[in-house]
Amino acid sequence: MTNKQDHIYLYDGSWEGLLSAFYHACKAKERSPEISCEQNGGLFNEYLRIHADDQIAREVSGAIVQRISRNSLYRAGLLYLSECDGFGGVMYRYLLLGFSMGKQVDFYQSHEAVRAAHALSRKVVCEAHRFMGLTRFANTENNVYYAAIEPQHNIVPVIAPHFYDRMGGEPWIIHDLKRGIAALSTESGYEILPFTIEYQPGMADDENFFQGLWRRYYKTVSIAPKKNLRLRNRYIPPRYFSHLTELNSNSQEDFNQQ
Amino acid sequence: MQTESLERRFATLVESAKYDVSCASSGSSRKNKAGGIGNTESFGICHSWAEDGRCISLLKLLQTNKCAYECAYCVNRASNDIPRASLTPEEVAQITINFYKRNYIEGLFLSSAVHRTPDYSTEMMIRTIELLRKRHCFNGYIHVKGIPGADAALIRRLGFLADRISFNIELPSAKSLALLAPQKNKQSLVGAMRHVAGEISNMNGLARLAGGSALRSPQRSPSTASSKFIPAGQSTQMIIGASEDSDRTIITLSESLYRRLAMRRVYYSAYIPVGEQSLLPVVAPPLLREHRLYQADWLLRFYGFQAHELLSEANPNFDLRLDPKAFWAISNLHLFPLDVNRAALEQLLRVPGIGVNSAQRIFASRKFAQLDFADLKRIGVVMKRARFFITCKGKFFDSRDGDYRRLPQRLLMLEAGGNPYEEALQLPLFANEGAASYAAVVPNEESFIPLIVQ
Repeated sequence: MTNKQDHIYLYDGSWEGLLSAFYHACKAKERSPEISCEQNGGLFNEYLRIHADDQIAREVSGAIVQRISRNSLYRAGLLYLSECDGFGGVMYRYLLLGFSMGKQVDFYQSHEAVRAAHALSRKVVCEAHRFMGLTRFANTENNVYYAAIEPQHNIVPVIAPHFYDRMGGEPWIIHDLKRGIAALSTESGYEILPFTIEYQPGMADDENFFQGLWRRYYKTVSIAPKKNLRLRNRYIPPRYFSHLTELNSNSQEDFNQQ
Repeated sequence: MQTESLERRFATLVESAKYDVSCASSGSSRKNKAGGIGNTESFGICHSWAEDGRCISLLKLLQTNKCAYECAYCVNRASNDIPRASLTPEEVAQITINFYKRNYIEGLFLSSAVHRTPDYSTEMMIRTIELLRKRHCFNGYIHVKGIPGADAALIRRLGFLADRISFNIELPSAKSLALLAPQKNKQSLVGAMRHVAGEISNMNGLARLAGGSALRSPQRSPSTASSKFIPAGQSTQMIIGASEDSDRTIITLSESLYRRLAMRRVYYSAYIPVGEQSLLPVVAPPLLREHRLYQADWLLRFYGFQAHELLSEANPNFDLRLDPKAFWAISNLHLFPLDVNRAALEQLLRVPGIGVNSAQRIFASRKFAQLDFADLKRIGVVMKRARFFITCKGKFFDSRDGDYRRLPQRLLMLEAGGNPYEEALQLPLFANEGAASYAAVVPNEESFIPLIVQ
């Protein structure tokens, strides 16, 4: 919430840029600044453009780990990935309190700054956890497992390590359609790269068979007298249906034919 | 030999397996190994939710549904006229691996009808799981059904292959089991569970749990599973509404399973009539009763309640109008109100509207500052319910909240979505549900009087 006196610190959208802006806001002893990469405040707000500086970013993250905790740095990272309006201000107020309280800050759950930071970072964690389950791979013709997702928050960096361990040696791609990035498996790990091409791979021979089998499973496993679509939709909001094999438009045709 | 298509057999066996409602993929933490596929996360991962609202995290299948037994409540009983099929171990393994790679599932839930003998069926399942673990190097989650009466050595082999094993108690008393599942008996069921519990504690080096000691704490970390024995422990299932047993019998049994056999989960499944038979009632599935039992189960495991606090001989079934926690609070008003800034954690957990997270947050943050009602709301306390049972700095949220004479009525009004301070209190009637032994009570103040300690 910016009023006439608050400053808005503009950064380039990168993590290093965010930490640099944080550094400058701290130095200026701001009480409640906004830190953002977009110019959409009021006409009378003062904008301060900050350049990303790797050295400053390293010092800031070191200071956070030292004076607060490693957990808090991770939480700040989650806030960055949330990409929600106002996350910069939430992060600033949380870390400022953390600098004065140390690692106890996370126990002070009734404080507004702590609750706001915890609630927002929890949103990211919850969505990441959901996508560990909802991401659906298709086996493409060159035996690469390809998945497309459209999450609200930038969770690819959070789920990539899980899939790296899970998939073993199989090559895989997780493509965030909204942000034009993807995690791609490599020889020894994975990389997160811009991925803006319209990737429409052909399917492997057995892909249709297993997709059909899964849709069959999905329909069969439900216990009819307990049918409760409202409950089901609360767990999987309809915005996620389009990339789920069992609930996307293909699944409807499949069952009309049976 | 298998002339029917894979898809048709698959669908038959999924249809036959679905009444086993266990769905967890949690409790085991295993990293993938070089050359392998899959891992498990201790918190479990839900991959989808079925149309009945239940989580799907495993591929749930029977190896075969050709059964020699005649359990009255089971869709697969020998006399029931349904399609019968089997899948080979290779077929099950292939489907599991392919579903797993596409991230449809966390792993496999494999059960079986009793085809020929318990040993024969168990050996088929062992072959399937061995294929997955050894040939496919599968490190994902496997939950296997134990068939009571199978040889102990076979169960032992399963224990080294699977993450979780379960034997379904199905019916809460020896009497109902004898009537409805004549080929099973309570001794062999409980004996199998006890044997597995013993093996787990020997293998994993835990101290033997004595009767009456603390229930599993949810914060206790699961054992990491490298070559361990059933890292995610045991679970079981009870059918609700197929017998005359009261909620008290059921929940008391659950409590002793958690305490004495280190059971990880007990599942409750509302009885759904399947096919024609004469021993069981044909009524609507007791869904609300099932819900109350899960609520009570949570109270036992996470809120420090004991079964005898929730139900008694005089009151053997859960109230349909109010959840067990609220009902307990109304029956124990002499313990309230609590001062939120002074009460112990165990006391806070007893307040309706304060869950485990809120209680822990209150406990942690009041060191830094005294809490007021705005803080409580921010923390996540459900003030709508908790307001009658707590005070901040000596005051209630609303000064009328402290008048406990009308409290039961007010809670019922809240449940019905009304205003608790409306002058003319109309009490809603809830429809009767479930088997004959579970009668609805017409709500009026007299019904609460024996329970309220003035």
